[in-house]
Amino acid sequence: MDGLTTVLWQPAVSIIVLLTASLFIWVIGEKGEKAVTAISASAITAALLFLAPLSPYVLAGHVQVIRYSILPPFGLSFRVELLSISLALLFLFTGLVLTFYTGAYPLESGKRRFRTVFLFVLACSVGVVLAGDLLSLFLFFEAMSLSFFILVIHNREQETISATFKFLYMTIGGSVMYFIALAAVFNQAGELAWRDGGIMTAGGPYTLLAFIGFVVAFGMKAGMFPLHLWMPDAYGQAPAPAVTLSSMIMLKTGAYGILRITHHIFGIDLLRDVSWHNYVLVLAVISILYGSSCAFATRDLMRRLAYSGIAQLGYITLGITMLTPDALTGGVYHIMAHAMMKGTLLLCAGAILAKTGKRNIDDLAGIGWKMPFTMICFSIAALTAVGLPPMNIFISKWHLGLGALDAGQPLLLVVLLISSMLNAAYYLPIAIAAFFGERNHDLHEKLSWDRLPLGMSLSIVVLTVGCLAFGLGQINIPLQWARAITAGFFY
Amino acid sequence: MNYLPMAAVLTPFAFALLMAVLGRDRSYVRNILALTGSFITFLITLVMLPLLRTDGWIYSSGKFLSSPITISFGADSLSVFFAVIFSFCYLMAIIYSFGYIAHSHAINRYYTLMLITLGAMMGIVLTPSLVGLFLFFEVYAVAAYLLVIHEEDEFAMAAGALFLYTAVAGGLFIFFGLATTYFMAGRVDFFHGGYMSANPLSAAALFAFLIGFGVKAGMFPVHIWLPEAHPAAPAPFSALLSGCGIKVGIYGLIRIIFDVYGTETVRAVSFDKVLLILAVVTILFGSALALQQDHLKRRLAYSSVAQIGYVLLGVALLNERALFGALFHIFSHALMKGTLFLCAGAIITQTGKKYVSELKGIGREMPVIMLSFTLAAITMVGIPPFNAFISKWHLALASLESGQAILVAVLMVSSLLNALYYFPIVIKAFLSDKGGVEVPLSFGGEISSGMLWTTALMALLCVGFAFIQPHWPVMMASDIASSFFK
Repeated sequence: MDGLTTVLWQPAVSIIVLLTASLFIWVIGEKGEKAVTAISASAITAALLFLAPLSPYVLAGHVQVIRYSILPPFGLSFRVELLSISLALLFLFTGLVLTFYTGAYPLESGKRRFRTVFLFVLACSVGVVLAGDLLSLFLFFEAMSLSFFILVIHNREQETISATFKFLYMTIGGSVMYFIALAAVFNQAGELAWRDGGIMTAGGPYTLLAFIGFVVAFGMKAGMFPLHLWMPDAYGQAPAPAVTLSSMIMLKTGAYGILRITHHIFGIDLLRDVSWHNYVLVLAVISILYGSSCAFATRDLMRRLAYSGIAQLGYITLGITMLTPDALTGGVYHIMAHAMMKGTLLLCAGAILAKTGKRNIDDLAGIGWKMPFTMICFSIAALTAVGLPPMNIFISKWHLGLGALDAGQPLLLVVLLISSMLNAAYYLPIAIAAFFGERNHDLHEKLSWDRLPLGMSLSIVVLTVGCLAFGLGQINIPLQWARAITAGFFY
Repeated sequence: MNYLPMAAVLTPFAFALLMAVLGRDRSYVRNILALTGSFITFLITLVMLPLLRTDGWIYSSGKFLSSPITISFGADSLSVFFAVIFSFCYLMAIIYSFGYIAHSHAINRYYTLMLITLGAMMGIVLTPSLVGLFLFFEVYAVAAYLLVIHEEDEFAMAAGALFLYTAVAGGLFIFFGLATTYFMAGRVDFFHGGYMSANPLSAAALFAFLIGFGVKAGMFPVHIWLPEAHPAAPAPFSALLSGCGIKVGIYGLIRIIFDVYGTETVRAVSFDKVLLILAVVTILFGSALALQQDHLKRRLAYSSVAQIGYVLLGVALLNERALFGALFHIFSHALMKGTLFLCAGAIITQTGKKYVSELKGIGREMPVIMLSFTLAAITMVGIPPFNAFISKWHLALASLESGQAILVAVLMVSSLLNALYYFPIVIKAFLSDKGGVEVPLSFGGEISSGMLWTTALMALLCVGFAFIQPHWPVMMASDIASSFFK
């Protein structure tokens, strides 16, 4: 591919296509459900088709920064490289799956608003990973966070509104911290673009300030303890497709941000020097244990999945902050593995919620006989979450574990295993009670429809296959990509 | 013949798939599929028997799954030894199930899971690396869980939950050991003599393996699932849990000690001493608790704890004679305890009696079953020249050779306890009259023929090998033991 000489147009065009489509959905309004799904799906597919052909180019190790001199004073820039392209493809793919699910999901009102914002958030999240510098990232990051607010508040009930305001204030707090960090970086380095090995040269109070600012801003998005407070409430209140969008895509932008600043703003040499990454590492460990314990304690299905997300994002952050190649491979792979696993669980939980109106785990005994397909997929994803080989999460835990040993921290491996045990303790009983033992007979009368709509069942199947397929094949392409990404960072 | 290990693993899985698809409605289809699947697997393992005389591994070509969990199939003499025992016990249990499970619910699920657990068992022993072992280990845990909760009553669900969570926890300990082994040595295959060096991290991994495999083996103090799961599971699967399931843990420990760490490293971190102490406690604890149980299957389950202690003892002494004793005891215990559980299942099916105190005069109602029980019990106590005598004899000699005379006393005390908790059952069954009424002896028609003759055959094998020359199992076990100490 002769991409080296020509300026790549794909990132900008992909995002423009997505944004235009979202505008278009607003315009055609409530007229046709199917038309809205078709427009969203074709826009996302178009973006996928634009970006996917770049993969041989980026896999070969090429990097291109594309700068547009709009938005003074720094301009807008995109960076095409393996990490950003692979995450963008992942986001677009999961977004496509979610589009079909959302199209079939029974939202009570405000479908037009929901679908518009949904696509807008997706466009911005793709922008976040494709952005070529801190300021471009900030732009997309803010747009994504603030518009997600509209999805959370969708139901407009009293509890929803208080949950949403918690989310909003925390987001704004995160933005302020990001802004401070941005200023501190510019003051120290005189530039804002990603660079291998980092742009910060020395550790000082301003550098520390920048580090704290970024960790707060991205950590909040990634649900890192103690900045996770918005998550369980928002998950408890938002409609299932919004929760899934957040879990599969938005949370990952937080982890992505931490990865970027670790390697491309501060640089591992500097961080090893000043050991600040260890603070984040400790927070990640607390997130893992705290999230798993809270998930175990709560009986609300959606909140349980939210707390579990806090723990799972802790894995990714842990993989990044251990600063060893294996751990980073595990962390990057976990971004994909978690998207598939948690996506399946959330979509199944959403289907249960929509069909039965039940969210308390104790009410779900015997549901497997009413919704066999949904609960089989749920069970597969639950076994994946526990880390049984050969499913995805085993592969990420394996690399994280090797990374922990490599970093001389066998205890971190123990933390991972304790968390796996807790995963088993809070996921498996749901799957077991769904099929075996006493059944909740009350459940069998209140069903709002017989079969799941095609869009919902199809998207659940695709994600379940995503949990299983990569480990079963001869060649694990996501793992190869994760290794290649890691190799780029630990040159 | 290098395709055989792979065929032995994949055959049961293929039949499980067929069972799930075709076995929904018709019972004869289920029976034919289950019988054919387990019989073919047994035949394949028999054809592999000549491997016992070769050194090293025979590999099936072809690798499955992607890095880091690439698995391949292969067999050495130890694998074949286990594979033959396991597949034979499964064959017997499946034939027995035709009668036992016929009136139960979810029969299709039952047979599918039986075949899956058989495949997982074959996978555990017929793969030449820890990764494959671990993978099939987890498959086995999930499928076996579903068999334990077959009844789906409150008792079975609670027992199953304990089984599942201890299995998952054990799996995570193995994961720790596996990751550490890979990190330190860069390999996870099996190699006589081992390759791990002694340091704190490798010692931690070794003890993690001990806990992980100990859970499966029913070693004290992580045996807790065993006395719950055995009574809850359907009788044929109880027989398999004791006859085969707990042996998987022993298989793992043997591989870890001799093929991954090597005896020198094991001694260097004092692992053998810890294992020896645990073995002794397991023997005495299991026997003592078995004595207190009135529930028949629970008594048999605690007896299994004690018996697995013998095997652990044999492994822990780290010499050739002791390992021979351990291997031979695996063989003899599989037959003995298989017989006893099949008898217990027959009694429950026929009379609904679950407690030892209810079994007065049962020998007159079910003479063949109780004669089988008697043969297995006599063997279990260690009366010469039957199977368990041979293993106890060699374990005792090995204890003396390694200068631990006290262990002989432990073995004798345990044998005495064995007698104390098995013989009263036999005596009451035949000699005491039932509530003052003399029940006439009635042969025939006691239970369905499949259940009857599988139980009887297992019982005859417990004692029969003593009268066959040459004694094949002894030769096999001693060949294997010597291959580890070359």
